[in-house]
Amino acid sequence: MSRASIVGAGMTPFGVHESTTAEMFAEGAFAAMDDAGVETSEIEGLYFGNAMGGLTENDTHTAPKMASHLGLNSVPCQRFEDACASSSTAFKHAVQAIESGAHDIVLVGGAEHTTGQTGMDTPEMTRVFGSAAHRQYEQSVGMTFPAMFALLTKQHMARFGTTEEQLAEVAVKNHYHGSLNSRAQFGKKIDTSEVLESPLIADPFRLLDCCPFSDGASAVVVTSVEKSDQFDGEPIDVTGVGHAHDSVPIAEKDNLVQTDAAIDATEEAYTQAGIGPEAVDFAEVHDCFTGAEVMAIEALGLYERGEGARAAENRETRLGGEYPVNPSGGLKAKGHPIGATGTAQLVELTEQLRGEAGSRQVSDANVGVAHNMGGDAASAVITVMEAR
Amino acid sequence: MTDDVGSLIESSGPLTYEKWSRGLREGVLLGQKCRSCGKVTATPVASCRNCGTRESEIRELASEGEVISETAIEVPPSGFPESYQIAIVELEEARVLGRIDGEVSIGDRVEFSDVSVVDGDPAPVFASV
Repeated sequence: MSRASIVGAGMTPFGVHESTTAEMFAEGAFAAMDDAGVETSEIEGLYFGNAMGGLTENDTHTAPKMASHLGLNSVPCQRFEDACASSSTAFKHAVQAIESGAHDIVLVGGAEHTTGQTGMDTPEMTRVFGSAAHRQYEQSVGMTFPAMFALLTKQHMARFGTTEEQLAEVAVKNHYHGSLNSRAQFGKKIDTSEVLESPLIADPFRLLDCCPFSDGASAVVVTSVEKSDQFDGEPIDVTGVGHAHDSVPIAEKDNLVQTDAAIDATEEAYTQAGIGPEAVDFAEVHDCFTGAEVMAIEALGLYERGEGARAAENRETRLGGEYPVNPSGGLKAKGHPIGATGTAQLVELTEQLRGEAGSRQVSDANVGVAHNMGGDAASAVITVMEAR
Repeated sequence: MTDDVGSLIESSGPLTYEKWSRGLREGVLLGQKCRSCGKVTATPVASCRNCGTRESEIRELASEGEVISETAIEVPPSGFPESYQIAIVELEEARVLGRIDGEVSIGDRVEFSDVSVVDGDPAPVFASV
């Protein structure tokens, strides 16, 4: 049974934005509201994701600031901070509010600057990203965001024989998808040797295994299934939202070769939707690093544990393959403005399930899954959406 | 074991960051063991994830262990050296993240050898046995 419906979706291009966070968010939010055909006065609440504005731009209490800039008038608004999963946890709460009858129409989205627009250089921004690691037992060691997933991926390589070449194929595939997406930060195709010859960041990850620093915003308009036919935008149903956490610091996780939070959240989301992985037509997954996509498609049950690395290599997750993964280009090529990433995945799901994705359209897309993670694989939100 | 470390282990109350970091500086890795289910963790938690019990005892962890995973960081955060390796080390009873002195691979035996301090925050350092 559907829990809620998305009737409007929109986002800015991802890349470098000189506009302020509120200006960026207005661009994404108005695109979603115009798609739905809703007026500002109809929005009953704002659920906003922003992870690092307090650290990067000395900007906190951002929800009422966003609401004010959008012209919302005395509505409840709240900001969620769950690292890279911020706007997905915002979305989860919005779905619950709709489901409970507390609201009829809400706006959900996220916005973030992480490029040089913040005034920070790479070491400073690396430290900010590392703030998602445990303050006492990981940051002191020099843990970085790529290192968190490198530690898991190295285990995957040791246990299952996953290779750097297979990881590179994930980047090649997602850059190809990004080349078909006008809003992607990287519209340029790359080949395997370019990935393997790019400089090391945290082995096994090289520069082209990693998502970029990005600015951007995204938003969706959420309403009840009952009211969803009253809008301009074709409704897409939300049939499952699963959410789980795993231990921080990473050394305390039960498993280091898989992402247990995503596995648990997937089970919850699939159970709500009444589906199994065989029903999934395509997925947008959290490919902050190439190795993360491998573990993501295993967590979603699209591949057996240890088998995920062959997916991109065999072109099974490329558009036209059995399970297209990250048709948008993913975090890797589309970009990863932290707080905007979760709802940007939902924007892609909405467009794909409506059949409006143009040259990157997944054929016969009826069931899509979004897989969004936060921190060192410590938060996971899995969303199942279906066309009617 | 110094008297200081002995008194830390004997001290009443749970393992705290203050005791853990004092242990590190004294050359001992301190962990805690759940008084109910016996689960050992290498860093303090207020309650056992296994069984929810709040009562635990402080214990000295093995100083030697095996590298479970590692990565060499080439793009460090501000305040850290140009490049360095970190690893998850499986001690006898628990796992901990540490910096590596030298170079190690998965499966290598390492021992707690030093403490690195950045911005006043201590972290364990391991080196090949």
